Amino acid sequence: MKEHAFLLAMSAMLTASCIGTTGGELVEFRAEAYGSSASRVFAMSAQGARYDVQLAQASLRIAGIYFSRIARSGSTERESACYSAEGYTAELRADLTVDALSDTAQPFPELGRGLNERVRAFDLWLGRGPINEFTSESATNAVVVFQGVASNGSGTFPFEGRVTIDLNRKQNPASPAAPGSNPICQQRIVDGIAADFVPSSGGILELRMDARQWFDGVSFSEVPKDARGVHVFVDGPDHPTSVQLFNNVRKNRGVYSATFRTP
Amino acid sequence: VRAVASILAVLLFSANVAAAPGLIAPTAKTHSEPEYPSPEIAAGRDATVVLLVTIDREGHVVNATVDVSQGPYFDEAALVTVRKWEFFPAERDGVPVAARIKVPFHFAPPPGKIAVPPDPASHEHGKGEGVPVDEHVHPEDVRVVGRTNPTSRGAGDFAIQIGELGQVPRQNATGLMNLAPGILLTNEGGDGHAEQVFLRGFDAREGQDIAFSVNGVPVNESGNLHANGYADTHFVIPELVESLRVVEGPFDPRQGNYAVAGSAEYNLGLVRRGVSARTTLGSFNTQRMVLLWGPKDASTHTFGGVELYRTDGFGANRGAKRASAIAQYEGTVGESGSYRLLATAYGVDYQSAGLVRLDDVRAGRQDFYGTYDVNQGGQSTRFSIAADIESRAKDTLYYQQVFVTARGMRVQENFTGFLLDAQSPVQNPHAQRGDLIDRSISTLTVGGRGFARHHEKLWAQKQEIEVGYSARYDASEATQHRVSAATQAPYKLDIDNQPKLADVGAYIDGALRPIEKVTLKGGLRANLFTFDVLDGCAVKSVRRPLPSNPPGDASCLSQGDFGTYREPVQRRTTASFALLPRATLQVGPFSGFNFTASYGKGVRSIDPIYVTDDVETPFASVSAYEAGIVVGRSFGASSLIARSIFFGTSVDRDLVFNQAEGRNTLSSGTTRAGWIGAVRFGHPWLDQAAHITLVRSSFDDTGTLVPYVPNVVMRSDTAVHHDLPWKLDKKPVHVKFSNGLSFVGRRALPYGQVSDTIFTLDTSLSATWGVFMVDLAASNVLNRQYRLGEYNFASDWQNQNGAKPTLVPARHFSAGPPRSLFLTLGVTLGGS
Repeated sequence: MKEHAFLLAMSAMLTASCIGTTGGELVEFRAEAYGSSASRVFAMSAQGARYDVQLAQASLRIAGIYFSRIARSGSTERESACYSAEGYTAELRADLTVDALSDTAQPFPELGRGLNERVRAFDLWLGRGPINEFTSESATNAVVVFQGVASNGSGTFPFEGRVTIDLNRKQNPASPAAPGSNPICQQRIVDGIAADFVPSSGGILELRMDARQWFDGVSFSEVPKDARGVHVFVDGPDHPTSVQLFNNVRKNRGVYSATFRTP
Repeated sequence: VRAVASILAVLLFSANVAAAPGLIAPTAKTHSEPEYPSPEIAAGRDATVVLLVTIDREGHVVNATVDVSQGPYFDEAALVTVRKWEFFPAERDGVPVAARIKVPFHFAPPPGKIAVPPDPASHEHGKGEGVPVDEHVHPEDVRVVGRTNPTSRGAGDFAIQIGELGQVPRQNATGLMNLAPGILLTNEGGDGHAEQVFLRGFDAREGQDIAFSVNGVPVNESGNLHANGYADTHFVIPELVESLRVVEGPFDPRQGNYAVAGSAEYNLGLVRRGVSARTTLGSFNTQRMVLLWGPKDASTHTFGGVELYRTDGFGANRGAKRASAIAQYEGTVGESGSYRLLATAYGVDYQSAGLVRLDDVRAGRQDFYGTYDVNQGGQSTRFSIAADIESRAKDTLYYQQVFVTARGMRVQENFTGFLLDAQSPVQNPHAQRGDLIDRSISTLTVGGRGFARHHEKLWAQKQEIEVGYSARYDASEATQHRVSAATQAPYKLDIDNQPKLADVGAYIDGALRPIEKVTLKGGLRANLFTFDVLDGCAVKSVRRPLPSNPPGDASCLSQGDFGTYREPVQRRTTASFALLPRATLQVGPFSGFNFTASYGKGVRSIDPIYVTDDVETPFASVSAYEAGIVVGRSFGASSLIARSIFFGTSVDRDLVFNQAEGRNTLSSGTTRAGWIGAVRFGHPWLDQAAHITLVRSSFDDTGTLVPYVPNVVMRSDTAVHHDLPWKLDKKPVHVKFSNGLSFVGRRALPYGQVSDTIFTLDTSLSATWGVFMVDLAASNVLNRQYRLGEYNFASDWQNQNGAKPTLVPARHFSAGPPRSLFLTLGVTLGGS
């Protein structure tokens, strides 16, 4: 009897010592990107002019996504750092060029991983290669490629463009007292995109993008024409319409969204 | 249990005791002192156990039985001790003969006087392993004066005589702590880095929550930037450790700062006299040489020892070179007093592999025994001298000790890779330069401690009272730089501190025995901590810098808002006061059963880095309680001591590892509860210790588990030893087989994770023939690939290659050593 009582007490202690958790959980999840077929044909306005736009091609090159537990309100809160050492709860370190005109799921080639903590915001990394270095491959390292036709009452505007983020987007420091401000990574990261979900193992992250928003406020008529008669967006900061489009690509409201589908 | 009290006197057989014409009695060649059994402390009685000891022609104790018993505890203590003795055999007309003699062991509790009654001549006949006993002998009693041991504080007070279990393979003296229940030792920092200690549900890191001392000299380093209370016991030569006392809780008023989870005191001594030399060669190009010297006519506490060691280490970047020297002299003062002079010197230079990511290992990007940063490692030096004196005057025992310790230390660690070096606007543009921490610390510690313990008879019982003090002063200089991986040059100064700390404590302690078999021990301790910290890098950023005067890349700034000038330094001073009641109730023994209950409060002084000017420092306070049963039994020549202990502790401010800081940082309060079972079995040819600890540790505010601490720890140490039936050149060959088994359950890790289990088997086989010995030891015999320390945090080792950073927590680990073989050859000359 004594032996039984002793064994019982020991079992109870062993059980008690094994129960509990430190809280939280590490998770792995798949991720898919979606464009929208609604972006193939849409109407928009710019500078008082209404355009009917048909997109034949629109793609976005994604370098990765980092999810944060901290909600951010501004467009860019980081002064100079490309990322902070704390606050991230999940990450998707995978390259994917997304067809922004397709409703079909486009899976990322790697799993995302992180904590099962509530995600309040995420950073979308664009392009390829080291995020804060200039490369010699900018010609082939386009973040966005698009092609289409816009028309309004005054005419038709076949257009095309590509957006690269390299020396062509380099910004000077804000002041001599802040030589480290305005690093190139700030141009390559769409940060602080609002989100609200809790990742879980086996679930699927769905990243959606609306290519129509890239052209919000873009006046196609002001885009310079080339010899073919195609309006080609300037890949740099020298043309206001191109800058408008570049800023739209990097907007953290209304362009990109992420939801999580639990299994 | 070694406990308490004092020795008190053991018989040492002097030479040339004639029992009959032509007969020379056996004389002790090596001897050790018995322990006063802790379960008897409460009674505090003097007792004399008389053993009948048969010594063969080779001088070995072949049989020992109790002639005059004083109960199982005293009997066992005497039997265990005498079995370790070696003799020069009795001789008749110059020819060795077997003999049986009576050996009285006298035990007196502290601060009892030495009183060895003369032993009547023995006239016993007997046989030892078939060897006829030829003659009666009359050994002469010789007193050996011993030091008083501290009073036992209940079932959780483990006084561990190393004895035969010293042969179980261990990496260093710190490994001896595995003989105490509930302890897990890990080390991610390398061969010269202190072990991280987990005890009873505490993550005591490198000493923050355990008060370490060696022969009474404190080892914990107050104000150490790497870890406040850092305790590196690698300077201790394992062969010189005679016993170890681990008190698992703050139950003894003598325990001062850092005794949160408990305390560990190493007691040095050298039983084997003469000059011993040992050379070890082993795996990973490991070489070790130890020279030990114990003058044959001096006590076991007079000795000298030198250790030289080098290894390439298992896996990448794990090499180490170290040397240690320890010398102590014990002299007598008056009839029963003694003094000791102790000097130690130690230096080590080592590399460290640090931690690696499990996902990298699984993906083949990193080796299990690999490293990311070969610049990790460090150097450490320690020099100390100490002197103490113990004397008695009537019924009062006096003790006084002074010590001086000089420490130097450099530690380079990188836990997070290339994660923390954020670009700030005022800095020139830079990429991640690497998170390697380079800490440099030098400390001078001076201090002393002492007590007076008095006993009186009252209510027909022995009553005791002790008053004592401890005082120490620590002056440190410490810096922490971040070092660029590309250039090895420091690019940032994180910390530049010069703390001057004083710790003065006083206590009153007593043992009250109102009736027989009931003892209430305890008292009150008070500690005052003062802090004077000069922060040499008090300003690291300027909220509103002037465009015409940007702070640039400098770490420590000499300007405030809008460019106003200020010195970059800031001095902060404050003080704290702690009152620490402690008590133990002991009831028994009843048929060998002792029941104890203990309560105590402990304290850990605040890390100087958290000191705020004139704000009472929020030191951490622990409340601990335990209830236990200790039972002792003798079965003929065998003895068994078993314990069952339930315990609980509550800490108001715990420490949890912070990978970004590379050290433990303050967190919220924690509570832990658990159970310990422990047994020690002794037999003439077997020494077995085993224990299991179950514990649950949780945060008070969230109820979640405290990370990193193991919930289940099991350990078994076994030594089997005997003479072979054959002899070589008429000399016996004594062989010893020993092994140590460890099991550590799954540890809770951050983010709901659990670690892998740990199961290791270490073993050794040794043989002694005459003055020679050979030992073959193997650690991790099963060659299990195991993760010794495991952590969950964010690190980025990818960014250095231009890849996308890893920013979310992932599993990291330090690898346990693979199977390792070590061959030791030894010789002892001039011993007697």
